[in-house]
Amino acid sequence: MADTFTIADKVLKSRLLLGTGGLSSISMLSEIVEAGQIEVATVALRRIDPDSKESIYKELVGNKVEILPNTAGCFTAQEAVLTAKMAREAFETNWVKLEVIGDEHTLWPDVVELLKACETLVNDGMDVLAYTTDDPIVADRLVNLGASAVMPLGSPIGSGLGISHPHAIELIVETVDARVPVILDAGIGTSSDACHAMEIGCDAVLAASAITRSKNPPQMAKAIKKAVVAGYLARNAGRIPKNFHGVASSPTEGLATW
Amino acid sequence: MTINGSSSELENGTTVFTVVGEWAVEHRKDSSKISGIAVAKNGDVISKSNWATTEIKSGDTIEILTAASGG
Repeated sequence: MADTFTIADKVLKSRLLLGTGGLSSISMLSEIVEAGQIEVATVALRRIDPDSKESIYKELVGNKVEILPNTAGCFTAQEAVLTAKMAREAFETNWVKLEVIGDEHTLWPDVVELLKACETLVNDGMDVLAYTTDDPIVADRLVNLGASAVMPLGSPIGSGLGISHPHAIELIVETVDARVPVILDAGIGTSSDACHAMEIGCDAVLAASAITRSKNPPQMAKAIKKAVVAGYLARNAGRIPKNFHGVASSPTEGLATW
Repeated sequence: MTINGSSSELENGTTVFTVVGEWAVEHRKDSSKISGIAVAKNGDVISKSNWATTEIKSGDTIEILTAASGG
C-alpha cells in the first residue's frame, strides 16, 4: 500500500498498529513486528520489575518501532494526566494513547474524564490519541479539543467481539471528516473485523489481544495486516450500493426464447 | 520513604539520582545510560535533569516506572 497517513507530525505507511498487551514473550515481538509490518506499538507504564531481564522498550526501539505509551489502568483524568507526563519523560515522546476507563467490568471509556484529560494534555503540548467510545459527538469534541487521533472502540477491550455498532463508526468517520485519523481500537477478534473497520472508512486499526493471544501471533499479525490493506483498497474502490432485491448482472437483452 | 510501594531506609542527602543509581547498580545497568524510566516524587514528575538535585526526605513517596506490555 503506497498511501500514507499522518498522526501528529509522523507520516506512517502501515495502517496496522500493534497493542503489546497480552504478549506472552517479548522475544516474539520482532517476528510479530515484521509479519504485521508494524511501525507503531503501544506500551503501558508500570513499576520497574527488579527481576525482569527483558525490556520491551529496548526491543521496540531496536526494531525501529514508534512507542505509543498508553494510560491503561487510569480511572480519573488526574491519574491519566500524570501517567502521560511520566511516559513523556520515560520515552521522550509527545505521543500518548489516552485511556480513562470507567469500570473494571466493561473497561468502557469514561468520556467525561477523557475530555478533561485530553484538554489538559493538549494544552501541555502532548499529541493525544484518544481511546473513546463509538459516540460521534464525543469524537467531535475530542477533535475540537485538539486530539491528534480518535480511537473508537469496536467492542470492549479484549472481547474479540468485532465492531458491534458499525453505523456509529461510520458516523464518526463522517463527523471527524479527515481532520485527524480515526483508528479502530479494541474489539478486533480476527482479520475480517479489521477489514470491516477499513471498509467503513477508518484510517487504521489497532490490534492487541487478537494478535498476542492467538495461537500463532506472527501469523495472525500477517493476516490482520493483509485484511487492513484489503479493506483500505475496497473502501477506496467504492463498494456497490446495497439493494433489497436481486440485480441481474447478466444482460436480459439477447436472451434466447425456448 | 516509600519506593514503588515498599518502605526503604533513608540517608541524609539522598537524591532521586542516588535511588535510581542504586537500582541501576543492583541490576548491573550503567546509570549514565538509563533510558525508558520515569520518576515521580509525591505525584510530581521529576525530569532526568533534576534527578541529581532533587532531595528525598523521610515520608516521601517515589514511583519509578518503565514500559510493560500493554494494549
